[in-house]
This record gives sequence, C-alpha cells and structure tokens, in this order.
Amino acid sequence: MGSTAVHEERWAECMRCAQDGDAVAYHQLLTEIRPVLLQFLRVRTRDVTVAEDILQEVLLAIHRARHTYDPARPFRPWMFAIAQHRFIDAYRRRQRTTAREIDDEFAVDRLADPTDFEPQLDAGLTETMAAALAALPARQREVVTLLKVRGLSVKEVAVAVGISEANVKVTAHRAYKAMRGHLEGWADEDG
Amino acid sequence: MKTDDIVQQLVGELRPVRRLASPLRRFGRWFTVAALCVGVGVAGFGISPRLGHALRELDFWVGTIATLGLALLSGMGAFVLSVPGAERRRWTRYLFLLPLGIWGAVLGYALWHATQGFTQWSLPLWAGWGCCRQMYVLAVIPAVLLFAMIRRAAPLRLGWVGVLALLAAAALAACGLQFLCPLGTPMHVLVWHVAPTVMLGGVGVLVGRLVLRW
Repeated sequence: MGSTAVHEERWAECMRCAQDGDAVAYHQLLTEIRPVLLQFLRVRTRDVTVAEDILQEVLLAIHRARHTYDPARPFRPWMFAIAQHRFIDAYRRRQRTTAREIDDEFAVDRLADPTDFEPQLDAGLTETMAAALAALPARQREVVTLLKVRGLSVKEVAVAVGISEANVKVTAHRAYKAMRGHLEGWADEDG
Repeated sequence: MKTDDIVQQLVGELRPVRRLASPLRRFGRWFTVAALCVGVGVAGFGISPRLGHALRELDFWVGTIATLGLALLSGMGAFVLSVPGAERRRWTRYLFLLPLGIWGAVLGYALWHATQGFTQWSLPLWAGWGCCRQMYVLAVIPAVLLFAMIRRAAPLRLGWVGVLALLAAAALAACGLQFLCPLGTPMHVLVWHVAPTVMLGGVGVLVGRLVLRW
C-alpha cells in the first residue's frame, strides 16, 4: 500500500476519532497534515509568510467544518477542498488590498525613512512595544523585526522578504502607524 | 499568533460533534417539508378553476415536470456543494439547466405557434403580476429552510450554493403555481413563471455570499 493510501486511512480514522472528541487523535491529525497543507499553499503563494498565514486560516476552517466530514469518504479531497478555497479567498483579499495601494515612488519617498523610527524605550514601554509588535499582521511584523531588531537596510529587507523596496517602506509605515495607535492607548491608560 | 499555538488551541477546544447526514438524506428532508409547505400554500390560495382543463394540456404537464425537475436538481446540487469535496464532477452543478432549458424551449415553441395566430396579445402583460406574487410567497418557507440547513454545513462556493438554493425554492413554488394559475398561456408563463424563477435564482449569488459565509 502506497504512503498516500496509508496516510489517507490514518487521517480518516483520526478525523473520525476527533469528531467523537478524541483530542490525541486530533492533535496527531493536525500535526501530520500541517506540513502537507503548508507545502500545498507554498506552491500556490510562493511566499512562506503568506502560506503560513493562510495555513492558520485553513486549520481554523477544518476545525469549524469537521462535522461535515463523512468517515466513509476519502479525507484528502475534503481537506484540500477547504485549503483551496481558503487560498482563493486570501488571494482575492490580497488583490483587493494591492489594487488600493498607490504605486507612486515619489509618494513613497516622502514617507519617513523607516530606519529613522527610534521609539523612546523605557521598562514599561518595552513590554507594550512587544505586545504592539505581536499584534501586527505577520508581514508587517516580519518587516519591522528585520528593520529594527536585526538592523537590516530597506534594500536588504526587500531581498529577504521578496518584495520591492517601495513595498517595504509602505509596509513599515503601516506597521508603525498601527503600533503608534497601540502605544497611544497604553499612554492613555498610564495617565 | 504562531501555528503551533493555533494547533494547541484547536485541540484544547475540541468537543464531540454530531456528524452531518449525507447530502441526499438532507435534501430528502428539505424536499419533504418544502413540498408540504407549498401544498398547504396552494390549498390556501385556492386551486384554479381552470385546472380540470389544464390537466388535459401537454403544456401543463411539461411545466409541472420541468419545475419539479428543476427543484430536485438545484436543491440536490445546493446540498452537495455545501459539503467540502462532495462534488465529484463539476458539470453536475449545471444539471439544473436541463429542465430549465426544456421548460423554456417548450414554451418558446408554443409561443411561436401561438403568435402565428395572434392569440397571445389579448391580455395586458401586467395581468400576470398576481402569479409572480403568489410564487414568491410560496417560495419563502422553502428558501428560508434551505438556507438554514445549508448554513449548518460548510459551503465553499457561496455564490453557486446561493443560486442553486434560491432556484430550488423558486422552482418548487413555480410547480405549485401550476395548480393556481388561471391563465397558463405560453407568454404569460414565460414572463410571470419562468422569468421570476430565474431572477430569484440570480439573486441567490448575493444572498449566498451574505448569508452563507462561515
């Protein structure tokens, strides 16, 4: 019996047990399908970070839809149908977002240099900064971490992440704006 | 949030679930209740005095069988599409076009014949508005029930499921309308039975995307 067929049987059985509330089987299932789904999404997105984001949505969708799986039917078509549609949904969302982005090099150049952002850190602020960073979407968090924590230049970040330098600046600008909002909330609480 | 954390969270939240019945079984349940509701609605509105005469006409039987077929194929399609991976062949979702096409073709042919004798223009076109209203009233409960049942599943193609669901409800109502309609001329049926059925199905794209998201 090929490895695919072995996996198929095991995953179907794990999902059947999970439907009955078996947490161990469910954990095994999610652990085993995770790299398969990630590979499936990486091929389609060609971006590890985006694939990881969509993977999380797929796992959530599988969890919500688990009652619809028929143990008498193959597991893979059910799983990949959910993955495919979550990928399409995410792709359409990204299309809508990038359609609204301004591809204007001059406008982007007028944004503050992202490497100039130097927050005044103190002990209380550090924890909140970490929370603000953690609250960012994955792409923004990655860009800010590479720029500020690892100290890479805009050009180096662009190469590492696989986007244009203009995109790095816009992403960083949005991240700082979001973090600023988070920090203002902290400042208000602090009085 | 990291994927590891999400996995832990999902495992921690795991509860036993009641497995969804097969699409065929769920469709059967829907059809039984919906047909009953339409039957009660038809009785409430009052059967057409013309029915005795209509039963001897081929158009009546073609319309009844076509609308029933449309309701069956659309409804079944909606239930199949509401389960991820259950659709084995993409062309099955287009099966509803067969009874719809037959219905339209037979009416078109009858209309063409009738216009040869200029017998279609004796009534104003808006005289049939009552039929459309009755059809939409008959379709309400089947439509609401169908969407409620589909929401329990996990539909992925929301637009398609919405179209098929509303088409099924409208077609079942149109089938009931066959027993109510006092006119029954091809032009009237085309404008006030077929067109409203198709329009309601079209609206299903929006309704599906609004109501069925999960």
